[in-house]
Formats: sequence, structure tokens, C-alpha cells
Amino acid sequence: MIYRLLLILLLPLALTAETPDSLQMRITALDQRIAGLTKQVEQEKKENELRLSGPGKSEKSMQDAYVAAERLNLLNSRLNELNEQRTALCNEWKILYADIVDKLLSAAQKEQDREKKGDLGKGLQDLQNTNRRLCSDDWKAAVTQEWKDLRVESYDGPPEIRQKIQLLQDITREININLSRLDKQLQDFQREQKTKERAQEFIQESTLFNDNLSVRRGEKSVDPLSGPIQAQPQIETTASTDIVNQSDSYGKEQQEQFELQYQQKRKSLLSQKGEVSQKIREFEEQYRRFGVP
Amino acid sequence: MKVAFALLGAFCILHTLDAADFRLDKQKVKLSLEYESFVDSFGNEVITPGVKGTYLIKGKAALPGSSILNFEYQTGLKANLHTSFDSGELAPFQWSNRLNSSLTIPFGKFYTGGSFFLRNKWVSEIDRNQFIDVFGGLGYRDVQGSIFAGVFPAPDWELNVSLHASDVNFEEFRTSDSSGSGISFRVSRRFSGFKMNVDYRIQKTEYNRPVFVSIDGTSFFPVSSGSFIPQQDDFQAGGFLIEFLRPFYFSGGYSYQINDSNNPGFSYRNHKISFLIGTDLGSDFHLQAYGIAQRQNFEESGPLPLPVFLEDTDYDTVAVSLIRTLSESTEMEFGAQRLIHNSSFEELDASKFIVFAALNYRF
Repeated sequence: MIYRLLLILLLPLALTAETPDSLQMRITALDQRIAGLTKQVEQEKKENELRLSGPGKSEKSMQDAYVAAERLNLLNSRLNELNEQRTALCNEWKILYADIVDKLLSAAQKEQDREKKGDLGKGLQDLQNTNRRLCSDDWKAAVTQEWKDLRVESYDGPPEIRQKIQLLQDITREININLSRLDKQLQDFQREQKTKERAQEFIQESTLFNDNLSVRRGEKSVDPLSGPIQAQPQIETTASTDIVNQSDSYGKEQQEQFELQYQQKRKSLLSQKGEVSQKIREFEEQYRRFGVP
Repeated sequence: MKVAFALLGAFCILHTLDAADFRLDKQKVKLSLEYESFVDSFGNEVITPGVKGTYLIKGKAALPGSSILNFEYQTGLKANLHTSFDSGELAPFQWSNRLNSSLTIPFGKFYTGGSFFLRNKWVSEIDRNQFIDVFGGLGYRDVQGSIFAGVFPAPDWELNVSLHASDVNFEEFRTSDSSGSGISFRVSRRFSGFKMNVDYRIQKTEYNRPVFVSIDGTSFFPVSSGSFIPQQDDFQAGGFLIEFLRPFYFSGGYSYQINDSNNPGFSYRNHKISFLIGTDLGSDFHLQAYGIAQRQNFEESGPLPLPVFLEDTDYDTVAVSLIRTLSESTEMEFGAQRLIHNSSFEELDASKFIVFAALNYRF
């Protein structure tokens, strides 16, 4: 279901421009080339340092060092070029990412079926993880609390304000994903607790009439206290419920702690979301003051 | 009468708690149709259909000073639809109750509190009952109480000590009435994916039953200072339990039990292995199962050799059920249970099976 939805969402993009998959592949390929070049640069630097730090520097070694420095320059400029390409690809990815996340979040909000909602949440998390892996710097900027200090400076023009609004929108998106992830965690936890409770209920119900009685009977004889005896049962009434009782109090406490933490985290995220939205509204107002529609 | 008073007391407590921060966690009604096997005193097996209705209520109340009262009450009525057999009559009705409550008072990393457990079973009397149901077909009342204290020395550790006392009374077999007291220790440690308890328990139990010695089919009752010597048992058990929630719920453990009795035939060594599992098979199906296997040995005085290989004659219980969710509050359940009992007295060796279909309603 989730993959089908993703395909539908991604189809228009695939027809017009880069798809997330192709972007991922290109960024990964670039990363490999950058890593290779960086290694080469480090190697050249090390060798050159050796040439220049040796006791008797011959003319040949000086010439070699000069040639190596030229090579290093070339490598560095190639590295810069690749990094620029990577930044450009990351910007493209960011636009795509924002679009897909918005659509998935909207679909998740509308979805009534808990299982499908959970799948959408999982899709969002996967996407967020991919985003972190591919363009981690962007992600770091989004999740830090630095946005709280973000404000429109007196020297900011419309492009700068627009950029800051976009950054705040990215942060809202990340908060929404975190909220969705939190809900998914609660859903998983509740499902696990429900499974545990059902299992415990089962053992309790099964032992309500069929105890694990440990019955022993002596030879037929005369009981000196109460007359004839047929059986002398000895009982272990809670034997079968030990499995439940020993873990129960701990489980309850764990459940309460989890629910409390969930409420606190959710409250904090909602409050952050509200603050970011407020900031966006303020920035947009200032943006409009420049007469930009 | 005592049970009625206890239930009335519980009802009154629940009403007084109404003013406190009171929360009902769940209520469940289960109506089931069962087929159950019984073995009579001559070893003949009969199978009878029966209907059963159970009700479960679970809740908690937050009392002043962060104290928490947890309670759980379960009651059930069972009727055997076919009770007359060639080998004799079977009791037509059983009424069973179980109340479990605990009060926990936390202070910092420490907590203390108490618990109360009441178990009562009533079995309708008939004249020619030839079925000695060793798996629970006996009327009795069991009251247990405990006071406990615990500490969380580190976030993932818990130490707990508990003093407990119990009193068991049977409707028919008065010599088996007993009272006991003991102490238990538990250490719990939570790891990243699972939790583990290690526990040790000792208990002294005194029975109404006198010490007796059987010679050539005749029992002799030793006398001391002009009165019969009551049976006294010293029980101790040590074991561990592991619990995890992923990828499915599992709770299982091992316990080694030693019971030393002054009455011949009542001392034993026991290996007890138990497990409980639960898993959801998609959104609408849930599967749960449990098993208890006990290797009791009444002859040997030393520890049993390891590893333990289960045999048909061991004292085992295994049960499994499948739940199909019909709506938010309604479920269908199908299950089976198998019990095997191995006694030190051969005539009480027996086995039993139960299959059932049930309709559950939660609210």
C-alpha cells in the first residue's frame, strides 16, 4: 500500500525531472568519488610533507614537491567542483523530499485505518533516515534549536527573508515527522502491551477453573480428625499465575512511564510547532512589507 | 458467608475509591462453550459439554501521597450440561472467584506496600460424585496477604522483599487445610531488549493432616505428648524469569523447588519450567499459549540431574488459543488445554483436555 502510494506520488516527478531514487544514486556516486579524491589528496599531502621535511633536500625532491603541489591544486579544485555538484544535488533532493513528505503527512492525517496510518508513518521515517544519510548537514540545521534565534535582520532583503521562511518550513516538516514517529512508537508500544495483556488474560482465565492443584492421596484410612478421608489435597493455588504475577508490577510501571514520556514529548513538539508557525507568520508579514506578492 | 463478606468489602472499597483518582482499566465478559474430559475414581474417562461465563474487572486508584491501589477481580460460573454417567454423577456447577489487590506507596527510589489475594471456589455437592477432579474440581478458599518493600538502586535494577502469609481451607478435605508464612526475595534487571527476574522463596506450612505411616495398607498415626503430630512442610524455591516484548511477547522461566515434609510421601524435589507467549497475527488475529512442565520426584532427596527431558508422566499443562477480533469490543476465541498430572499416589495420576469456543466482550 505504502509503496503504491509512494509510486503515485513520485510518478509526476519521474516524468518531469529527477526521481528520489536517481538523486540518491547520483549523490551516493558523488560521495564515493569525493571519498576517493579526499583519500588521494591526503596521500599527496603526506608524501609532500615528507619530501619537504627530509634532512638533505635535493633539487629533484624540490621539483617533485612542486609537481605534487600542482597535482594537489588540481585535485582540490576537482574536489570543490564535486562538492558544489553535491550541494546542488542536495538542494534538488531537498525540494523533492519536502514535496513527498508534505504529501505523505497529509495522507497520514487523512487516513483512518490505523494499520495504513502506521505504514505511512514508517514510510516517513524511512524517508527521513534517507534524508539524514544523504544530506546530513541540512538535517542538522533543521533539528537543532537554532531556529529560535532566527530573526529578520535590518539588512535582510526579500531573498534572505524567503530563505529563512523556507528553513522554518523545513523545521516544521521535521517536527511533523517526529510527531508521526512518536505516534507510531506509541502505537507499537500499545500493540505490544495489548498482546502481553491478552496472553496474561488467557492464563488467568484458563486457571480460574483448572488450578494447578498438586493433589496427593493417602491409603484409604480413618482420619483421626474428621472421619473417613478419600483424598488429601495439597494445593499450590498460584503456581500457574506466577508467570504473570512476577512481571506484572514492573510492566505496569513501564507502561505508565512510557505514556508519560510520550505525552511530554508530544506536548513539547506541538509547542515547538506552534512557535515555528508563529515565526513563519511574522517573517511572511515582513516579507510582504517589501511589496513582494 | 465469608466470601460474601469479602466481596461486599471489595465492593464498598471500590465505592469509597470513587472519590479518589479512580480508573477502570478494563472489563471483560467471556461466554464459552466447552468440551471437557473427566476421569472417575476407577480411571474411566468421560467427556461432557459445558457452558461457562466469566467476568474480569481491572482498575487502579491514585490515593493521596502518590499511593496506588491496583485491583483485579475475576469471577466465573461453569455448568456441566451432561452430568449422569455409568460410572457416577458429575458436579453440575462450579463458581470460582479470584481477587488480587495491592497497595504501593512510593517514596523516592523506595516503595513499600501490601497485597491481598482471595481465591474461592464452590462446587455443587452431589451424592454419587465419583469424579475426583484433581485439576480444580474441589471447593476451597485461599486467602493470602503480604507486605513488601522494594528499591530501585539504579534505573534498570529493582530489589524486592516480601513477607507473606496464607490460609487455605477445603470444603470437604479438612485435613488438607493449611496455614503458612514465608519470605521471598526478587532481583529484577531490565536490559535493552528484555527483562530478567531472579527470585528465591521460602515458606513454612502447617497442615491439619497428621503425620501417618502406612504399613500393609493400614495407616498408623504417631502420637507425641498425647496428640497427633501435624504435618509440617518446609518449602523453598529459587529460579529466574525472562520477559521480552519483541518480536513477540514471551515470559518464561525455570524454578527449582524443594519441599521437605515430616510426613512420608509429601517431600519432593521439582524442576518447574513455564512459558507464556503471545503474538498478533495481523491486525485481527491474536495467538497466545502457555505451558507449565514439572518434573516432580518424591523419592530422591538430592537435586535431580540436568538436563531435564520431559516425559508423559510429568505434571504438565499446555494451552493455546486464537482470538479473532470482530469489532472494537467483540472477539471470537477458540482454544484448547491439556493437563497431565503425576502424583506420588498412582491412583491420582490423571490427564484432562478441554476445547472451547468463546465470545468475548470488552468494555
